[in-house]
Amino acid sequence: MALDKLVVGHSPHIKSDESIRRIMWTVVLALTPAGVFGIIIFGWYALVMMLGSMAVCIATEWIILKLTGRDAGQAFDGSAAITGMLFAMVCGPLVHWYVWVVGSIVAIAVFKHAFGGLGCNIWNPALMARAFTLAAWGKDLTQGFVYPDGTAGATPLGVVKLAKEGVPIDTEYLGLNELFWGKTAGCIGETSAALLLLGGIFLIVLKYVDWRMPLSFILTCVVLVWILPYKNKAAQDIASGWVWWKEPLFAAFSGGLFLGAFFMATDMVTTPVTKTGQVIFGVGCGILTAIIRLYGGYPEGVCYSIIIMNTATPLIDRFTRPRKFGAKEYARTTS
Amino acid sequence: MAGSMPCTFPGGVHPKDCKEFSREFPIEVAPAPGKVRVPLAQHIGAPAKAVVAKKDEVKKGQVIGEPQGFVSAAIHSPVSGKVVEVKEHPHIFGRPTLCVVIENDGNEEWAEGMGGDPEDVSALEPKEIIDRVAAAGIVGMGGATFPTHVKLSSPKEYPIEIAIINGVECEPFLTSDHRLMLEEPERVLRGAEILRRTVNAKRLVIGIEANKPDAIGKMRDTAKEILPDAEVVELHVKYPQGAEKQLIYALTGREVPAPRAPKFGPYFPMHVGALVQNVGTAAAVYDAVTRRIPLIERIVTVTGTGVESPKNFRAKIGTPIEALLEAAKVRPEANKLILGGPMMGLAQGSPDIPVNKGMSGVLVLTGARPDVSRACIRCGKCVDVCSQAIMPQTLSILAEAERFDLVEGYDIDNCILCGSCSYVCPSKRPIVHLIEWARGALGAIRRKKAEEQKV
Repeated sequence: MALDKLVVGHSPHIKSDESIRRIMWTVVLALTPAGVFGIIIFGWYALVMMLGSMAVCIATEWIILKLTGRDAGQAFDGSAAITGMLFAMVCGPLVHWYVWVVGSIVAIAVFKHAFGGLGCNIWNPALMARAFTLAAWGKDLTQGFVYPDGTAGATPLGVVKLAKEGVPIDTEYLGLNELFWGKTAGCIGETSAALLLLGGIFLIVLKYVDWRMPLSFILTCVVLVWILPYKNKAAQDIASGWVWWKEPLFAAFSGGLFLGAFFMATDMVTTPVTKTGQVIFGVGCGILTAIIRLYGGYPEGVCYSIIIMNTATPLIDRFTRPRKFGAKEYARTTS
Repeated sequence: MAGSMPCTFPGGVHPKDCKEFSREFPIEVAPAPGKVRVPLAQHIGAPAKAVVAKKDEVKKGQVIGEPQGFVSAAIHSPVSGKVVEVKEHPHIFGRPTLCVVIENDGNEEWAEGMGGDPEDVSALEPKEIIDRVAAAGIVGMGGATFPTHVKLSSPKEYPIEIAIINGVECEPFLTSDHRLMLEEPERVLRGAEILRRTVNAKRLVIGIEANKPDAIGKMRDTAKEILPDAEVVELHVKYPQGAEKQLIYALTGREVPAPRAPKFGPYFPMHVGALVQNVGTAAAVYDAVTRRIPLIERIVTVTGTGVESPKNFRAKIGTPIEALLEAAKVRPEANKLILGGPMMGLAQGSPDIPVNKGMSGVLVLTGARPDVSRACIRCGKCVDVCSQAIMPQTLSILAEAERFDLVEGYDIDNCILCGSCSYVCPSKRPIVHLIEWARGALGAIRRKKAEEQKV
């Protein structure tokens, strides 16, 4: 009879066809529309940056896996590719080539593999790489922005943050329409709220992202920006008296909020595993983002807020454990 | 009324049910084995002690192994013939176990007082019924093999309100319970009624998953005729709906308490006023009580991608599964043999194993490969699907790090080893394996502690 060479192993003997590779490359796919839009408005250098960062990340991971005697094929599982793509997408369209090259290497080598590789890093590697490059080449990261017509200028959040009384604000690229569709200045992947939303919904439908996380993040941030006091009177349209900052949709569509909420706060490795934990994480990110935007030294706070909440993830996980089955007492009815 | 009926439970997974391989094939009697090899350990609890020796003549149904203590079960000869040897042989759990090997003389000669026409048992005392069930060596036939007479003897402070008959069969591929309900609904229902009467339960509910509409229909029609107050309930299709605690929840909304500090002792269905018995067990109880027939045969599904003609066999306990596999025609490329279903069954390294009381299926698969597992990416899917609402992900990491001091606090005792977590894991981590292993280690630590306290 056959059955002379049998495979043995512990149950279950059937597995779902879910895999790391599929999850990671699906996220890359979900990011693609926003990335392509970045190329359309910022030009071919954006493409070079995104593909270049992905390639550098994958190569770095491959070398490290090889050197540490692990399966180097894992470098192509898509997780390094996401880090590269996200890192490029949170850089301005004019950063020098060495900035994104070094940033990508640091993202993988330091912020992923120094902690043990896939699944072991505490912080989102792409965001840590951004924080690192911001410290190293601040000018590149904070000033190299352009509008779709090619003129240099600040991001919408930068414009309102830096507004001075008496200096009129050029409102051409600050309308809600422009912000929603992405015809404004910003990092190459963050401008189009519409396409990021599309990618985010795609991931929610596929259940790779739970809707509670982005919703709690965005909602918290928007509501707080709306209700908290803000002193810079310059950031208002003199003619109409309309304060840019206080407009909820302006807060939602500007900066990296959608990119962060849909693609970074939802990174599986660095965020809580339970649904309740994810809501707490999202609310925490929203609070920190709003505070940094309104009162902090930077115009945008998504990056730091996510990094700070990443740090709190183990703590959140610890206190948001599900109510175990059988915890409910059964009160016996005397018959 | 005893609570709401959610008809499902929180968590769980939806593997393809794969019942189409074997569900259309009527139960057929397995080829009579020339020799049967009957293990003395076929149940949870102490193994039985052999009471026959080499060269003894035995009759069909004769006791060959006596139970050792209360939580144990008697073993009977499934054939008439001659004992060839009492010796250790390979066993489903991996370790060789004492077996009684009997040469079948083919006469099918019953031991005295067995196999007559069914007698009227409606006046029988519960005590007498429990004794007959114990004498018949009946154990839970859904796979857990817990001695049935123990379940029926729940103490007075835990009165049973609802008797549940488990016809869920949520494991993919398996169809033995399905065929039984379809072909012998009367046996099942009459057995169920005996069980209900024994524990004096008000309600009798038969739970069946919605993917067996023909069985639901058949059971309802038969119940209408012979047992009008039995409720046949259609349950949502989800694994592990057939797990005892999940089934009780689906039918009553009650949760069997989780093991808790300081003792972490188990809680049972009786703690929420329920009794759960598999449909196969109910049928066996009927035979045992009305005809004094011990548990010497059961229905075994032989199925999977690795067999050419899947079958549902009525096979004698102790039949070598090689004989069943031969009849079902194993494909040459088959490379995995599982006893039980694919979610909780036990993979075997050799087909040299006899049928036992808890074996609902023999599953043969092709194209099986050992999984290459990777680090946990904390996707949280296992937490979402965990039917016991614990954190399998954390437990698996704690187990890898050998932090057995922490696993207790993460409710490792609550795990029912259903395998939903490993099933969904994108990193293909052997979560259940790690949990079971850590539980073993924790057990050793607890035993040591208990001994130290005694001294």
